[in-house]
This record gives sequence, structure tokens and C-alpha cells, in this order.
Amino acid sequence: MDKEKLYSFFYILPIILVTLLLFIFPVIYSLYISFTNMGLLHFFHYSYVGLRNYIIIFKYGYFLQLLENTIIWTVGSLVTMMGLGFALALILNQSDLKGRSIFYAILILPWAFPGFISLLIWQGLWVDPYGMMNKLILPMLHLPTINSLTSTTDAWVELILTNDWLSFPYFMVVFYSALQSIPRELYDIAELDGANIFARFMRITLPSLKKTIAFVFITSFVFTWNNFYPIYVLTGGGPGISTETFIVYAYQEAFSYSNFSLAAAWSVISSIFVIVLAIIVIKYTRILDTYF
Amino acid sequence: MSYYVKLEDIWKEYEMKGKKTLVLKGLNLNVEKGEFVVILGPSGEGKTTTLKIIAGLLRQDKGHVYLRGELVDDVPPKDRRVAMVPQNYAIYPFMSVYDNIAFPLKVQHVPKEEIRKKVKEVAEMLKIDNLLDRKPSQLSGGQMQRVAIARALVKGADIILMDEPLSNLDAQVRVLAREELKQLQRNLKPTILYVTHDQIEALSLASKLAIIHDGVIQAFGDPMEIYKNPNSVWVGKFLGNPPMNIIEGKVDNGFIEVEGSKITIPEVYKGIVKDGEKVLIGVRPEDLYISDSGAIEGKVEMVENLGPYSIIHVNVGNTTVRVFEKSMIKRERGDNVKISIDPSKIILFDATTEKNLLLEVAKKSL
Repeated sequence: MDKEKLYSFFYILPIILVTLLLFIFPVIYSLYISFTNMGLLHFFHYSYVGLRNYIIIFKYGYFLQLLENTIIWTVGSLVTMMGLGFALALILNQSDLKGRSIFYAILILPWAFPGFISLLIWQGLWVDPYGMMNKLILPMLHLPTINSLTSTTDAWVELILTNDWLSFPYFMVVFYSALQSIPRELYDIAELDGANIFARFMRITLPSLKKTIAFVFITSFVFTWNNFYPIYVLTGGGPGISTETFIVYAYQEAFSYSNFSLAAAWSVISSIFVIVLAIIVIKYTRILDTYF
Repeated sequence: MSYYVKLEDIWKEYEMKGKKTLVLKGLNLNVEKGEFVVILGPSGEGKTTTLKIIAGLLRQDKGHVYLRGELVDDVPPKDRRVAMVPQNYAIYPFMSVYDNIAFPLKVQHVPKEEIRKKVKEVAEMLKIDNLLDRKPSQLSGGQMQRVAIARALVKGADIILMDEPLSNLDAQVRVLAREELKQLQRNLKPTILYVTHDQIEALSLASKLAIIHDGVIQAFGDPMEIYKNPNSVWVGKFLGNPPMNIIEGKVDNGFIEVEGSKITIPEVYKGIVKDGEKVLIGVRPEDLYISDSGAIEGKVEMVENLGPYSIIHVNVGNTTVRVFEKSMIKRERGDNVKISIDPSKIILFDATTEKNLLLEVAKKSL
């Protein structure tokens, strides 16, 4: 290696170190752990046990139940959050909207609060029957009250609604800025050519946002799949394990029951799902290709 | 007879961040069928606004729009049978050229076969039939402009509004595009309203020229007629590059006194101007000559070389006069020169109203 190449290597050393220590090493280490019997009983002197953890998971674990839960959580949150964010972005983008900046500022507030604090407050709001939601807001809207301690459906509604509240500003902001980058003339010309409001939306707005939607979908899919706090704080996976997702279950397996190797195996399985799904979506939408 | 496009007393006010600007103040315009009308004016004077009002994309605060002799104030844009070519072409970036051109037909649910036939026909006419599969990002500026025009033509609308369609092209392509546009209009005979701030474009394309300023049409008519005989000082100065020279003078016994020298009053103005009246003399740079027999003395201030011609800036008293001259004679700053004026080529304006005196009299006698 000549001198110049050595120097170049020296300059990228920091990022290589950071990637190695914070990314590659943990991934490989947890993969390794998942093939051992590391746990409370074998914390310092663990040994290789082959596929035992995986066999336990598929034989005795709640694999299908957790997969179903994770999909309900991810898809349920994602569809409602993206829908809400998109709808609000469309409203904000109306040219004759008055007080746009005020609405904008209010609507991104949930984003500005620390998520954990918001979750603690929401936990209080959802308490049945004394929390604000069950005492005041739901009755006011003539909707049934929600009790996440007894009903699985109620627990999902509570989780997804709370997650929507926490996350919609992100989608709104991204979609809003994408909408603003569509030139006005495109709509003018389309209107002149006889495209009604629905046709303009389908033929101009949606195709223009295709890349943005694909990007937001992939990133938030991974994020929501691995999002841990809302479930852990609000329902703790209950009632029973009916709202446990892979990541919440893995956490509890590790830090409540001290089965570190089993927890590692769960997270490896979870990661494989995310990676496969991401590859499919990237291939299908060709989001990584250049525009042309 | 009724006009094909008629704007009657159009007023339009914009509100931007709490500040109101009155853009159009009672604009009137009458366009006959098959005319190529160029609306020329400085930037920000409501040219695009006027087009959008005709298209129905904006609604005027006051006044009426008539298309093909019918009042269309309450007719939505899609039913006005008007096509538009906007400044940045507004080509849909995610559609192929074919889909772009086919768009107006698709949204009107025209049968597929017919769409294909029409798109092909228009594309062949504009020589872009080999580009139909391309994406807009693979097109040059000139090609994009053709696609935009093709999309306007495919609808079959006989009124086409163009908003500075050539301004994004480089100079050489622009000259070609100008020629082609003219040819196209001659062949298809649509009524075109064309907005620009480029004088050369305006003079070379227009069958009728409309000059917009201060919210109204300042002058409307044959472009060369407006050039030669502008109806006001503003129009004279705005149209033409370099602008018309405006020199102050005073009528004195059959002559006009200018900076100490006398010019004979042109035949047509005799009887219109009175003794002792102050007037403004308008004369084009190409109608002034530097010669030893010239009556007006001045000093060369600056020489602008334009290749075959030069513009000589000459200080006469306290006004600067621009003279067009063939670049054969070399002149330097500080040279003393004499300028002669052809009296038959001068225009006299009223010193206070700045209106063309001859046209004012003609207007009164009507």
C-alpha cells in the first residue's frame, strides 16, 4: 500500500471504528449469544449450544402469536399514521388556508415533547375509569370507553391511537414539504385540460409523491417494528402477552427473566423479518435507483 | 363584429402578506380571430395575471371576459376551450413524453385509439415523434418547449395562451423556435395570446402588439406602427433598444427651438402646435445623423459597439441623445459632433400629458 492510500485510510479510521464498535460488533455478538446458553445461571461461563434457543422458540415459544402482534402493531400504526399525516399535509397545503403557520406549529407539538414523558401522560389519560380519555373525551364523542387491562382490542386501540399521536407530525412534515415542491403550474395546466380535483390528485399529487411515500414507508416500517417504548410503558405487553411484539418480548426475556441468549435469538428473528421486508420493498419501489 | 377574445375593464388586486397591490386597473383588450397578439411589458406588470384570467385560473375582481363572443366569467377553466403553455412548460416529470401530450385527452376519457392517433399527428407536426418514449429529464430545453406546445395543440383548442415560452431557451435555439412558432401559427391559424418581456420577440412575432403598463394596455396595434409612431413618451421609451430619444423643445414661429438650434416643424404637426408651447420631441436613434451640416452641437459621452452598428451617446445641453451609426467612423469620448434631425421622422409629445399630439388630435376628431 503506498503512502497516499495509507493516509486516506487513516482519515476514515474514525468512521470505521464507530461502525465496528457500535454496529457490526453488537450485531455479531448478539448473533453469537443466540447460539449459547448465556443467562442468569451461565452469565460468565456460557457455552455454545447450537440451535437450542431457536428450537425452543419455534417449539415452545409464542412465535406465531408474537408475529401476529408485531404485524398488527406495525401495520396498524403505519397505515393510520401515514393516512393522518398525509391528510393533514394536504389540508396544510391548501393555498387559501388562513393561519397556516399557527396550525403547523400546533400540529408538530407532539413531536417536540420527549416521547417517554408523553407516554407517561398518555398512560394516565387512558386509566379506566378516571383518566381524561375515558372520563371525558370518549363519552363526549359518544364512543365506548377503553380498558386495556381486560380487552385485547381495547389495548390495541389504545396503543395505536397513542402511537398515532406521537408520530403523525413526522409524516405530516415530510409529506407537506414534498407537496410544496410540486410546481403549481402542473395543477393549473391540468385544471385547464379538464382534470377534476380527483384526477389531479391521482395523476399529479400521488405520482409526484411516490418516492417520498416509499421512503417514509420503509424507514417508519423498520422504526415501528422495533418501537419499544409505547407498548412497554402503556400495556407492558398485556393483557397476558396479547400486545407483546418481538422487541418487547425480547426485552422482557432478557431483563425480566434474564434469558439473554433466548432474547438474542428473538431479536435475530425479528431482524431477519425487517431485512427481508426492506429488501422486497426497496426492490419493488426501486427507491434507491436514481430518478431516471 | 364580435371579438374572439375580449377583456372588458378588468381589475385585479393581489394580497401578499397583508400588503395589497393593484395589478390590473381597468384593462381592455380586443383580439380578433386568428391573430397573434403579443402582450409586452416590464416584469411584474400583470402579464401572466391577464393570461390566467382569460384561462379562468384566476378570477378578476371586476370586469368581464368574453371568449368567442360569449361571456365566460362563470365558466370553469376546463370548459373555456383554451390551452396554455406556461413559462416553465409544466411538463409532468414522472410521465413519458407520450403521456404528457396525451394527458388532456386522457382526463377527458377520449378512446385510446383516438388518443394515439392525435398524439402521433401533433408529435409529427412538431418533429418530436422520435421522443415519445423518453422521460422529460432526458429532454433539452427546446424539446421540452415543443412538448408543451404539443400538449396545448392536441386538445384542439383554438385559443392558445403562451407565457414567455421561449425565455428558458438559449439564444440560438430561441431564434429557431421563434421562426417555427410563427410558421405554426400561419399553418394552423389559432388565436394566440403571447406574453413576453422581450422586445425583439414581440416585434418579430406579433401580428398585433399590446403594451401593458400600470395595469392597462398602453398601446395596441400593428407592432411597427407602434414603434414608428408611439402614442406616448412611455411607449416610445419602452419599445426599442436603445429607447427613443426625448428632447425638450419650444415652439417658436414655425420652428422648434432645441438647445439653441432650430428644427422645422413637420408638415403634419403644423396647426396643431401653438407658438410658445413647450413640447417633447421624440426621435429614434436611427433617425439621427452625425454630420457636419447638423444643427445641434454636442459632445460624445460614450460609444457602445454592437458590431455592424454603434450607439453613440451624445451630450446635448443637459440631455443625452443616443445615435445609431455604422461602425465605420471611429469616435472617441469627448469628440465634438453635430447632429442633424430629419424633421419628417420626429414625433411631438405634449410636455405635460406626454401624449402624442398628432394621435390626440385624431382621437378628438373621431
